[in-house]
Amino acid sequence: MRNLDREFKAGRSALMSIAKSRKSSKEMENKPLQALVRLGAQLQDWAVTAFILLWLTIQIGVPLWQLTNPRATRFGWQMYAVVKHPLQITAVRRDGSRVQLTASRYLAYFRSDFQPGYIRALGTHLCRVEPSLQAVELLQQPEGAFVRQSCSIETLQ
Amino acid sequence: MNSPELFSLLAARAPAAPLALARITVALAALLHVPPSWHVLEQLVQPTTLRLPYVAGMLPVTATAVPVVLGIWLVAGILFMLGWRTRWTGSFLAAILLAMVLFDEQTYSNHLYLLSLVVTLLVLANSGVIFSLDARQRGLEATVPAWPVFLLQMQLSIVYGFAAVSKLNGVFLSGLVLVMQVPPLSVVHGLIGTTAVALLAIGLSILTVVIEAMLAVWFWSAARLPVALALGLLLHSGTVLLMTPRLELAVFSLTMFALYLLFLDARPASRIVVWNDSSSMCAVWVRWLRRLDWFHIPTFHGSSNPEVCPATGVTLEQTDMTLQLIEPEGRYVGFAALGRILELLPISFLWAPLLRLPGVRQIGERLYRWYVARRSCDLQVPLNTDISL
Repeated sequence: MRNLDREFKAGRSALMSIAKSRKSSKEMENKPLQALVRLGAQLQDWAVTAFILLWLTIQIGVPLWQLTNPRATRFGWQMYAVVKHPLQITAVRRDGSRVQLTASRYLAYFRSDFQPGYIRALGTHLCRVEPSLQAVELLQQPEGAFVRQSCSIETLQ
Repeated sequence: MNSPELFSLLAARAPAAPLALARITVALAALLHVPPSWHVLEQLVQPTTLRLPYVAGMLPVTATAVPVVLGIWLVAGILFMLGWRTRWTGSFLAAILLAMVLFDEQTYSNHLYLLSLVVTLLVLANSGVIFSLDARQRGLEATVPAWPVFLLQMQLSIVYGFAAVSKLNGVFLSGLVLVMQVPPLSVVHGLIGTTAVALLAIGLSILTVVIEAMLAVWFWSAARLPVALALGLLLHSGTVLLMTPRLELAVFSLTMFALYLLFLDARPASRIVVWNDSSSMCAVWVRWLRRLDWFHIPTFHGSSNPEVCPATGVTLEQTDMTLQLIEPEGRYVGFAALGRILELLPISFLWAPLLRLPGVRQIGERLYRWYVARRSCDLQVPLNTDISL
């Protein structure tokens, strides 16, 4: 007589092992996908962290560095930190007469944080746009920076 | 998977409503800056105007480019304010503002630079999820990622902090900057003499540095936040009223006020207000407070609700006498409760801390007691009071 009970148990254990292997194969299929998703989330977290650190480094580092330069400088939140003295421009005409020029005619907006070379650039520019001038004298307070630009042919070129 | 502590900020969320209101305010500030920028650009393209590019040989601004730049600025600003395709329009706006900062040394300004940074962070924070056309189309969200909000808050501290430190120089502390930049000081000179004006200017200069340093730090303290708000209002009102260029200073002030919003504890339904709902006059007040409570911070409960008093620990007699505000940090009653509620509303959060000032507080409490004594209790106005606590 066949031992049905033994066959049943054997069949049941065979079915269970088949079911386990199917489940584990499904898990095997999902695991790489899950790993990819986790990796993507981790990469995103690292990218955002890097952005935050970079942003704060720039936003704090640049103004800190600008504090080591003479006031006022830009990108350093140095609003109204120093006095904005007007630029004095004296034009010398070819007949020798002197006339005061207003900076607002030749600058779109005067700021106290222009790079130091702007005075010489302005002198050259004035010689170019005002051909009747023999020379231009520019005085920037309070540092007393003074530039006298001769409007020669070389200057106009 | 548990996030490490390092990434706790990345997982955190912040209320979206204050950020959206900040977006609208900043967009308004950006639009207000169009006229002065137009004037600068028009001057810059004149043949008699010196060009000062940051890098020699940089593409110059041309006369034909000016209306294009300003047109994009206007359109992007309006659409960003309305919250239409917020990330795109915000990106365009931030790009235009940054380009304006970098076109030429003459087009740079600190408030334009700040605007470009703030708009960039508002785009990253997805500030169009509420109070926007995008929210109408796609549905609104109550929270946004917290890390861009944190960077916006840090930007406030960075601006005030370095503004204070950069003023620690002999020229500013001597009062010379304020004497030259604040015209009323020159007027006062005729009245009180040179020495007095000098002392006044020195005192104001030191006070300015102290206030800016305080503002850099105190916004982060819940206990000191009302004081910081009042000081910020005082500082910026003073600069706009007393100094020039007025419009640009107003733009800067608006931008900073927008950042103030992000420091409010705007968790929805985080406070409970218990009020006497048998009073018609109280009902009018509550109706208006609810209308102005765009962030839905307090929930309003009538004292006739039998569940309210046991749940909140407030007695019916207390509620009949005065308004009650219960929050995690404690309880406020009467005029103090009204003031605290106003500190949570977007339209009054800036000036409501002034109601705590000595003198103002006493007058307010007296007026409140007089009002309570005179209010009518014979007309019940049905109002949809919240039941769940």
